[in-house]
Amino acid sequence: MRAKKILLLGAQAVGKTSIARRLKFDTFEFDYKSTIGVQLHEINLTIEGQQQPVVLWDTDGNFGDKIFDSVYAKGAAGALIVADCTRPHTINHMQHLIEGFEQKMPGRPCFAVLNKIDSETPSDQALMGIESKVQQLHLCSALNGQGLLEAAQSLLVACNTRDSAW
Amino acid sequence: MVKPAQSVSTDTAIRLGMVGVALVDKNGIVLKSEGELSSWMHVGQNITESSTALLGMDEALDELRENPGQQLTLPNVCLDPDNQQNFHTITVQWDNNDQHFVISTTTLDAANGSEFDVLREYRSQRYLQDRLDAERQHFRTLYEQSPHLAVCYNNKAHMLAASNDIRQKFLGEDGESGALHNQLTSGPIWDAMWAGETINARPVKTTDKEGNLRQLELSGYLVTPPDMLSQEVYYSLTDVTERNLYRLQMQERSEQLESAASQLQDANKRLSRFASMAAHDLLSPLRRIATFTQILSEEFDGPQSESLSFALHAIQRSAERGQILVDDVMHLTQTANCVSTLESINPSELLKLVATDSDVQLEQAQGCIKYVGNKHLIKGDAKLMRTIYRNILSNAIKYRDPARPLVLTHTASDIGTGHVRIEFKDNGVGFQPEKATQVFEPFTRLVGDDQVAGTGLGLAIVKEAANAMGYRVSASSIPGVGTTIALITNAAD
Repeated sequence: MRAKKILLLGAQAVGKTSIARRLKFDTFEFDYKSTIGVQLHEINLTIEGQQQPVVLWDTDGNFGDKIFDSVYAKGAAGALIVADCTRPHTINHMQHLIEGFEQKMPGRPCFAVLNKIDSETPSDQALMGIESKVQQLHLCSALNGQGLLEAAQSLLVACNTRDSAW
Repeated sequence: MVKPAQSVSTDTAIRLGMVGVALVDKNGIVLKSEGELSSWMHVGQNITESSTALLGMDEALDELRENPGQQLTLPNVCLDPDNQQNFHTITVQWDNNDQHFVISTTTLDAANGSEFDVLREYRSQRYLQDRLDAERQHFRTLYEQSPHLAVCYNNKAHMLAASNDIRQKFLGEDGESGALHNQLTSGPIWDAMWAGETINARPVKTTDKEGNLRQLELSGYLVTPPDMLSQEVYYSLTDVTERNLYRLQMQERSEQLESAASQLQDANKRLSRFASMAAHDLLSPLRRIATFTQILSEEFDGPQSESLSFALHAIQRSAERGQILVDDVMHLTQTANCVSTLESINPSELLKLVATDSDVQLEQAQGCIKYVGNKHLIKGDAKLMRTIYRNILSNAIKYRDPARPLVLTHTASDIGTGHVRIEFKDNGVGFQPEKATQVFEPFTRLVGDDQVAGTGLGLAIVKEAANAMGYRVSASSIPGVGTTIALITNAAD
């Protein structure tokens, strides 16, 4: 089965690398190491009983919305755009990136991931505000793995649905 | 960055410093793969379908074929996430002569690797600072919404955050001046904070920006932020000036009230003493009048004129009535000033006891007493309860309906919330319902002296006795049907 390229986008230190490592190795590292450039993680996700290869492009949060004009974004099937629920400005940044992705890569699925919910539970009011602006919102924790696999699988299913429609 | 020549051979490319070279046909199928690229770009594989770095890049490769002079460069790609020092720069170019793509990769040199480490370190610090700022913002938000005053200082006594109230009332424009700022950032409080002590609700006197003396309650503690680089002191203050002032006023008022109550009590005692003495002094001449009238009656034990006999009888009756009146007044004042001693009492049993004193009168009235709910116990003063029961029973007998035998029903019922309602219901002559309050006033008589004997103090005594025990008493009546006197008493534990 053809592999899919999924971008992991978001502000610095929202936990993109931790999410990739949780999906690939099912581990968590407490030491924060900033990602420079891009790290490629090959993983397999099970969709309807079948394994499907995915390459997660864990990007440098410093790119901001310039990422959409760079070569890194070329050929992406979809994106998980991550925010840190304990830092409100990263949520604003996430919404900005979602708008950028939908504009530059129209029609491709792009889901919002609110990470670090183990540290803080976002208010219902805040969640309603985000949900109204995104295709799908997933509440996740790279620390304990909560919600991550479901988010990645949902995105892959959406990518496959789009491909089959084409 | 090393750029491959138009038709570079793989050997040459590797000699030029590239660590991997691959040749790919126009459809993306790998023709040849050498060096590092051989591990992730296999011969026969379609690079846009399964190769990690060029996955999905069909359109990008088509563009390159149409523009042979251009190249596609992917800098700083980490193909092995376990080794974050191993970065590649991947370059793709279309060789128009040989009609294939040339893909080459170079690794990061050591110097760049060090730069990356520095960059990582810098970003880590920036992230931690960001976290710290977020926490400060959180603190600021929390305390801006709080009714308390709050302020946060770093170890150089520089104010990091303060609630609006504290700024407006106590701190200077720069946030780092004013009497309170000096107290919080120097002297014993500051020293205690940095010694790691926690201060809880310590009273602090200070002046606000307008120079008014204010009283604050201070709590403070030392905080170590997640970066562990600098510690901060958080103070929480409550302005208790008004509260203390109010407390002082309340204390003064309370003292004034206590003093007034004490004076009133003294006055009551004096009045009570006076009433007793007056009553005693009044009783003495009354007794003498009664005695000498009796003597006069006996001395003139012969044919007395009718008018003299009537006069002597009237004097004697008046003297006796005067004695009863004085007795009742004394009783009323004693009851009003009585200090009750509460104990557990069975009201039904008490009424039975009191009724034995009035057996003769009850018999004359052909009366009977019915008891309902006689198991409830109440908390009351036995002496005062006897006074109440004696007066109510006496009234029931006095105001009975001569046309029918007296029936007095005594009911005790638990009405919840720790109270027992006691009801005396008779079938006497009754009175007009609008007089229900008036009957408890002293010297209130609803019938003439000649019809029913009494002083008009019975129910007034009942009310005073009930008040002394904290009971409520009420009356209701229907003329010709009967009267009900109800007491709301406290149930015994």
